[in-house]
Amino acid sequence: MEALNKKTFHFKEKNVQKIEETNVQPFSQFKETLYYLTKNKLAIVGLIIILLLIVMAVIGPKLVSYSYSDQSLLESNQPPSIEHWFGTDQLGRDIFARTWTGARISLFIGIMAVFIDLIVGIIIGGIAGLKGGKTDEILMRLVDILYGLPHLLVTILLMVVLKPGLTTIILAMAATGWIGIARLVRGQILQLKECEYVMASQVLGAGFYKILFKHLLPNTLGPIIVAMTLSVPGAIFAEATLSFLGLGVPVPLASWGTMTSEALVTLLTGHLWILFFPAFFISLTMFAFNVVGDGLRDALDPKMRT
Amino acid sequence: MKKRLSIFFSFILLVSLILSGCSSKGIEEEPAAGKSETKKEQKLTINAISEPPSLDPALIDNQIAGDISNQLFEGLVRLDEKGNVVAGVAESWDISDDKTVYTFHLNKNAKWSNGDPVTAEDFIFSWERVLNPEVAAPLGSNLFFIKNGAAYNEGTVKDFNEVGIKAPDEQTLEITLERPTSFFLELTSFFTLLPVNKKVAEANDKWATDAKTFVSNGPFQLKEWKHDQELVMVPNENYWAKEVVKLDELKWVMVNDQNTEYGMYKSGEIAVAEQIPNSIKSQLIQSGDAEKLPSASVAYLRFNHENKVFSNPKIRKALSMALDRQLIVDKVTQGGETPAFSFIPNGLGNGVGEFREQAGDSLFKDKSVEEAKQLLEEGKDELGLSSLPKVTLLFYTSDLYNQLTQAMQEMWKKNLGLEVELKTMERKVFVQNVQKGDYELAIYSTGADYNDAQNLLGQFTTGDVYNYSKISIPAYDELVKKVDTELDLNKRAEYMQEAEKVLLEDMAIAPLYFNNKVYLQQDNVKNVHRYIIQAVDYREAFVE
Amino acid sequence: MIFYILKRITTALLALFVIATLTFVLMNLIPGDPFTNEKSVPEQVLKNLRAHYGLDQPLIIQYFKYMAGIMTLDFGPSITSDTRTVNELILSGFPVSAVLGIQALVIAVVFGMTLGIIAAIKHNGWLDYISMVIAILGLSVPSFVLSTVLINYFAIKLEWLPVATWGTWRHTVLPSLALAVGPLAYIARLTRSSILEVLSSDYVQTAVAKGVTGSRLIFRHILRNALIPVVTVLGPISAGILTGSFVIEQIFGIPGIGKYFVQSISDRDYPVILGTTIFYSAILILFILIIDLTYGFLDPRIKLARRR
Repeated sequence: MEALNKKTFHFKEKNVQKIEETNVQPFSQFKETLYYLTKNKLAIVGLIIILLLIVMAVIGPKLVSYSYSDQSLLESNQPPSIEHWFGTDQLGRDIFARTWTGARISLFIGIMAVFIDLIVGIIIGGIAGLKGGKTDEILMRLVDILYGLPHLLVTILLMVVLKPGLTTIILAMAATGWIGIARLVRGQILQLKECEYVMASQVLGAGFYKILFKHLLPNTLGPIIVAMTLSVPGAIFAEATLSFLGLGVPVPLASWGTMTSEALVTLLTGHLWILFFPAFFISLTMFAFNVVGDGLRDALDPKMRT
Repeated sequence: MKKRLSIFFSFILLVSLILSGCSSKGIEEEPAAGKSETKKEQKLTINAISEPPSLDPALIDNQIAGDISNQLFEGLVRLDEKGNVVAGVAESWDISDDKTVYTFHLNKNAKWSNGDPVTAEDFIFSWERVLNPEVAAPLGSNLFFIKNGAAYNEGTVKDFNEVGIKAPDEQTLEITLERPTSFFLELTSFFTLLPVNKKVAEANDKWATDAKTFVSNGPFQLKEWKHDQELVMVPNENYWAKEVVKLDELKWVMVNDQNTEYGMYKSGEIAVAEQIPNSIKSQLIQSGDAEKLPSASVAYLRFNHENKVFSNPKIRKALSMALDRQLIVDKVTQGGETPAFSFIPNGLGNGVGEFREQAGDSLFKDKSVEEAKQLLEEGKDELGLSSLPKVTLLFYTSDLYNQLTQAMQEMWKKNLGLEVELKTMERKVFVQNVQKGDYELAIYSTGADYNDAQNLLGQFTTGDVYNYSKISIPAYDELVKKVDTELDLNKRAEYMQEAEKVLLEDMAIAPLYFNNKVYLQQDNVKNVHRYIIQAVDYREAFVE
Repeated sequence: MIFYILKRITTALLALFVIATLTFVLMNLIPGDPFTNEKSVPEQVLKNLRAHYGLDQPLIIQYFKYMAGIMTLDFGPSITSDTRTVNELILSGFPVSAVLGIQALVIAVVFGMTLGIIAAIKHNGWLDYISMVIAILGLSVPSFVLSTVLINYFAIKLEWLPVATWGTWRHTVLPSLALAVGPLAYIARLTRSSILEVLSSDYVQTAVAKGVTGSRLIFRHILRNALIPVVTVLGPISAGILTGSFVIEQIFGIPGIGKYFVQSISDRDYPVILGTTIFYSAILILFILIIDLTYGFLDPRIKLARRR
């Protein structure tokens, strides 16, 4: 009787650990996600576009002998040619060089703004979700209040209050951008806290940090990555809108947004290439990030894999 | 539950459809008027750009409201198509020998749109409000030429009877000036000095906010004012010269966006476009589609004279000389500007004629790279510097200045090997920085408020509150003082010429270009008069 | 339920109070005031102007004055416009923005959901790809580019519609379209994913197993449940659309309130900045509240008081 008892106990213990490991191994989930992602052709196209855009942002400006700010007033408004692959703009600057220098700035703004959103959002959302109770209540009231503020208005106000520059644009956008991420993280953590396997591991005596790092974070990662992929183009877009309102990247820097809004008039003058290239690459970036984000979301969600 | 749900949804959908249906139907009724518009009908639609902040003469502070009110009201005098002073509400006037007392005799037929006669009291009422500190008229300084006008506005003179504005009888207005002011007569056509119907305004202080209560004495009266949308004028039946008014309707729309405005012009929705996108202006001027007029405004480079580097005249000259203004105007600003080799903009008067015609056009030269380089070296030696510290060019964010400063930066770099950093700011932040003297180099532009060169000269005298460049040239100060007091108009004009020369001798500022008003006007629209300060007059306009 | 609503309203009022205070602080941090101008205005005139609008008083007094005004729903006079108060600006601008917004919303909901449904039903088929590409393309073009292209093509080249301004239904077509494209794409994608989620749920599988097919399946079992997430986002989307996109209003010269958001800041028209911000926030909070209430009503599983 005693021997049997011991044996049974032993067996059960082992089994539980096995289940835990196979079921919630972050690595296997990652692999699985990747597998489903590769099955989505649109997402693959998007991924390739993003990679190409990043590569071009890095090497593009070096492919031509002109810098983004070199002017040649006598060669202004030239259509694309062998000399100037994308043509020249009103000040006779090489649009190819400007487009890829602009890519650096636009992508940098997008990625940095989202990066800051992410850090602040995870911290605030994480604390609210994990601590719960009063802390949660207070933090979420704060988030609710900020959520009610018109975002673009806050951004514009900050842009005017602070000194113009790249940092200001990024900060101004991050000032409201983290709210969404914070809500998302909190919601995810609250949901997961109730999940059977987390409860099980709690019952089995796993410590707070083990639960946090082994269960909660890896499982919130998916939705966060999706939100990130969708926020990067959002930030690039927001910068473009700010440019239209005259609050974009200060000259002589140029982002796709400032290039596009300055070139709007070419629809009337007929020098369409000045507008086309920056506008096209903004749209391409938006497109790529969006399809990848969609693809990722589908891949992460077992219900979408039908 | 599920049934309720679907009902709820159909309801939401229905409501939103009805709502949008209603709203589009509600405004569908109106287009008939627009559609029946034919070429022969005397109707003009023009773009006011934005809602006029006010149409009460005392409170007007921008050109848009000024343009609109000029059609609605008429001052003591008006300008004919050549810009000469002709009779307005005043049919004649006498000027005393010492040129300080103006007596205006009002036209008995001058009537308000409600039939009231226009009296001297109406002018006094309006001008008192302009000067009254409690009304806080933004352009009150236009009446500071009148005796005790400034003092009344400051509050040091409390009794309006001490101000030089009197009405001996209903039809006579007697104005006493502080000192002879050659341009005062023309100034009485300016929008700040337009009359207000005293009876109407005293009965209802909100009279100027709505078309129904709006009373005016000019060629047109207000028929409809949809705020932020449009403003419709019809001829004033009581206007004393109503036979010269040919239009049946003058409509102002409010479209702010340049590209959109140009689109509306191209599709024939508006008759005149006045804010053409810069990059197509030169094209349109060349093709002869767009017309160009001087606009009494000049863009220039400000140096901060308190800055060690720019206190040196040779360095200032070097910077000015290294630019190619013609190229800037042709290829960068492209707004039909005139390269400036002097400070007072063309078109502006000097009391006896046009300033520039008498003073000549080129007081300095540019594009002399070698000379500029040499001056820079000499300047550096004088300052004991082996190389110049990095300097910053401040400007406010606008498409035009973004392009202009980048081109200037490149020219300095290429011609002088000088690195200049660009710093852009939101407009009011920029203005505040310049006013505080918190800058090294700045792009600034200034325009004349009245048609006399004098009003652009005062701001560079030592200690003047508007001398944001901290310029101090004793010889210049003296000349400007002489201009203020000289009674002989020819001598005064000479002093002004001399003053400009002294100012530019050491490049206290570096003029860049004179702005011009470039506008498009449909071919069949005739007889629209435009002036350098008093922008536009549609009184006699018609459609062919 | 009533307790819950009361609690939400209290929170909303508190939120508005904090927003008003925040905005007040922020806008006074901006350098310059309404009368900062390149033109040389005599010191005396400036002094008179500042006194006239009470800007010469200490900030704390100005703050309490604004707050007292807001309590009585009076946002004060506009500094830039001498003809109208902030209340009048909002009252005349909002209906215009609302007409435009409702039309855009209808377009966005109708076409967005249609696209989403098609995409979901033909999941992973070519129709799915095409719908989603269309939807994402809509999200990809900046609205100022799209608007300008629309004007150029439909108004200037083809002359089918007027270029700009407001008045007849023809004036509303292009701006409504330009305004609808973004939300349309968003709704389409959301509809698609939520339908896919519902499709794989047990009760739909059961219904299919029980032999429910065709429109009955789609409307009774799938759509109704798939709509819940779509309804949720309608709150913020409609508030955003209704208060107008200032880019669209600027380009099309539309007399809505959207443009005041930007213009008032560059004019430093403090009462207008404050008024429009509070108005916008109030609308946004109201919409979120309404949506939350309907949400609980739609899905009995969600207990309002315990949500979140």
